Amino acid sequence: MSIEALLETYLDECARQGVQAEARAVASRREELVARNGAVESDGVADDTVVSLAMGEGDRRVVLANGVDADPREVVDEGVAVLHAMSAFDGTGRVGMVANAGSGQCAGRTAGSLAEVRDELLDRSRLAEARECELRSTQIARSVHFVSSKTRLTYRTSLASLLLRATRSNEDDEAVHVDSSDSGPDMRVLLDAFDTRILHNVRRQLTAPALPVARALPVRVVLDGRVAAALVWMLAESLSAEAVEQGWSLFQGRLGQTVSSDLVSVVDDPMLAGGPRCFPFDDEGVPACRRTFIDHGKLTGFLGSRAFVETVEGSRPGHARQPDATSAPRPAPSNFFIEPAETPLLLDAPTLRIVQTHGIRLANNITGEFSTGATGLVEDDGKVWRVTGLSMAGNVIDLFRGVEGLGTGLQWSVPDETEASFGSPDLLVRGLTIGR
Amino acid sequence: MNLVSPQADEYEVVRRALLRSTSVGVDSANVFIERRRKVAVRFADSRIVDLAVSRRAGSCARWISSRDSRYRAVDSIDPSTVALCVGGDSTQLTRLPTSGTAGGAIETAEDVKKLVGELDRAARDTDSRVRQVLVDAEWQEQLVVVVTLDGIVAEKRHLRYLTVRVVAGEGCRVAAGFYTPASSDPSSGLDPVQIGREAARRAVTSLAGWPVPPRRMPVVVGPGRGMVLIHEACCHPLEADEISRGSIYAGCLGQRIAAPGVSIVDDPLVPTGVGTYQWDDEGTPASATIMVEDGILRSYLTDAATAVQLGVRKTSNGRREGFLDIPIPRMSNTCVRPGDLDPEQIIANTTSGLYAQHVGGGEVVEATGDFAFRVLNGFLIEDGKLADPVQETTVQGNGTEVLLGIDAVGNDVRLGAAKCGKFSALVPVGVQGPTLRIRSLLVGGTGE
Repeated sequence: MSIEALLETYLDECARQGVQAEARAVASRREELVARNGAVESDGVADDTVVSLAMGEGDRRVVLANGVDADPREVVDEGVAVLHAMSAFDGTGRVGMVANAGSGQCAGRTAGSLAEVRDELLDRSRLAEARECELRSTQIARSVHFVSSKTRLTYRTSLASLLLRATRSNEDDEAVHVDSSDSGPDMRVLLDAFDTRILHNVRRQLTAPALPVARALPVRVVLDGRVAAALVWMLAESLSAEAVEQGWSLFQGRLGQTVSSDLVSVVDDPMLAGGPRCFPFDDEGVPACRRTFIDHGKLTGFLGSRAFVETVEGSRPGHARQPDATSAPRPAPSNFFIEPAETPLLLDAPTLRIVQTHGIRLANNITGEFSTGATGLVEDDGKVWRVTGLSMAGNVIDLFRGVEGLGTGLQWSVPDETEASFGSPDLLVRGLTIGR
Repeated sequence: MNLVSPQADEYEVVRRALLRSTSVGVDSANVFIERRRKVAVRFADSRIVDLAVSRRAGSCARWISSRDSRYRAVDSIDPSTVALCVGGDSTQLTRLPTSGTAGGAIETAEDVKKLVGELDRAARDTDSRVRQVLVDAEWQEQLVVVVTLDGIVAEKRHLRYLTVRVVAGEGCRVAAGFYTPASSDPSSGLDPVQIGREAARRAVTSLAGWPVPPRRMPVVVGPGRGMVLIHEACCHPLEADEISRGSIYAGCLGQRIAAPGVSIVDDPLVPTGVGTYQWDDEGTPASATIMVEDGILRSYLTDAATAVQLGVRKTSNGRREGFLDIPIPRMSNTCVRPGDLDPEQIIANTTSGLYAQHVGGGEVVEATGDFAFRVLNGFLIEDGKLADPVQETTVQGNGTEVLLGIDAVGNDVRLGAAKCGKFSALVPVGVQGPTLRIRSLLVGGTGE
């Protein structure tokens, strides 16, 4: 039985029992190659298909995720029973189960296989400056099928990730370690940009001499795009209509107000060319749309899904995402980024560039406070020194209010536990507390 | 919850296929087969926001040599299909409809709803400044079968994991209380009233917190979840894949790496610990591994591949998030053995410093030992007494200075739970231990 026919079977079974439903199947192939110092350490392939059935009745919803071997009738029977049981709960959830009308096949995007670039990956895992060099590469290809009473959609998508981990012993026999990553639609694309987006950064950090202890840190601070991208995650959490409705968003009651520097515009673009993610539709079947949430400092909207359209002002559907196929969809971004500038950031004074952080994902997205370990490069008149063991603390709202300059290129942070990617150019900021 | 599962001996056909597929030069091979059911509930505004029931099943075959390893994972547990796949034929992947896929979710959902409802009421009744109670509840049952060249083992594992965030507010000040109570024993009770009150207390205490200035100071870490510090700062670099990459503890077996009196054990058999199992995910029988004994490094944590690579014994630490991931050396329950001191004595003997009462997560760079971990609830220590609460902050340093700098070990052992991510794979880990004092660490805050 084809995937499409299986999904139709689920819907037919739901219709027979008088329950609204949407069915979504994601067939994934993940290829992985870990190469170390020019040799293969591990490689493998994983195939997986998950069928996710969202069933609604009244204001209740349950999501059931199974493999393709599950019996649709048993799954639907269970879903109906859970929905009925939920009606006995106090004040259970709320949903919109009215799907968009439409159908079609969207090409989305496809990607090559790691096998095609295997030799190049092995070659890239050698680095003369490093005593230890590991390159972790992953290529994921997915085929997504979505079926509701009004909608039939199919598209393909892909995600490639590279992580280079290099360690060098410096002149004092101390270990200097750099992790540098990149993500995009296809491994071929990442390898073509490897020198400029990964290797340059790694070599610069590995080979820079340590900043003398007696030398003070510059006052001017730039967050490297990779570091800033990780903080953009905190903005996304607070820009979710769900956070607004639950009363814990940092942007509660701020629609239409100035919430950041007027240099900052924050965009979500599910179809961004070259962006790590490619989602022609969201996980409720709503067509992709580029939206601006902070427009030159002014808050213009929230990430929404059908459930929040009527209750959260400024939210629009089209951003429903299942963090994984076994979870309920909720508002979340796709390629979510700060718009880069058109002209390069001019740094004509000594600058501390924060290039790595440890623990930035441990920040508090309810208060906006963050406090992390950090590694920086001090840049002064063409010379570069490395400084480790820093602490970097602040509040994300204050940080984005204090943006005084933007770089031109986007760097991406792709957390494992979400279906989102966060991007930022380099940011010249004030208001951070740097400890040493 | 009851899982309908194939019997382990049905997989003899897989074992025979594994024997046939294992060529000369392969040191070991195994097939991990799992069936997992999860009920996940998100709770906010005193109601269930959504509920998801998932059932996933699949298998992963892996062949390991001293040079490299390779794997093949598929979403099937049908013995003949898995055997075909092990034999290299994945073109005939068939996934026959399985019966008994449903059942049990309603009871689980009702259990969760009752517990979370009581938790919510307890939190809100604790203090009028509580504005929101957010709970993610995960009730999971996993049946694992591991086929090795020598035999077949099977085990059923449970996980009940709550992620509780209580938001408190006073005027324009907002603070959050974070708590992750969990258990691997489905019959052991999670006390909703205690959990709700505790999370609310943490949130309200944070409301009064002051920003701590960024400076070095003695840090006293609370028992239980506080051992995340040891997990992050000291034990990740003892995982054998990190050793093979040249971690700070590579080549240090038999050497002093911690202060006298400090003993750390990885124990996958701690009752109710969320990192507890009878067999690891490669079929190695679980047993406690003494990593550090009275300050001396005794063992690394290995899986099958790193044991072969390093030429040391397997320590039952091959763990994976699921069948789509390969096992790597991971901690189970990280246990710091108790000392003689009452925790009150440790505070009283500290002239000034930070008391990290409750901690969140952490991160470490294994090659250098540099780490950071989050202090969610902390107090300044002044003249041997707890003084003002501090805002959430981060403590950082180097793992070597932590272990060598432990100068007081309490007698108040507690067990905590966390989830640990490594190379995209998230596994539940237990942390068990007493109050500890570290001589000096960098506390990073925004205070003057």
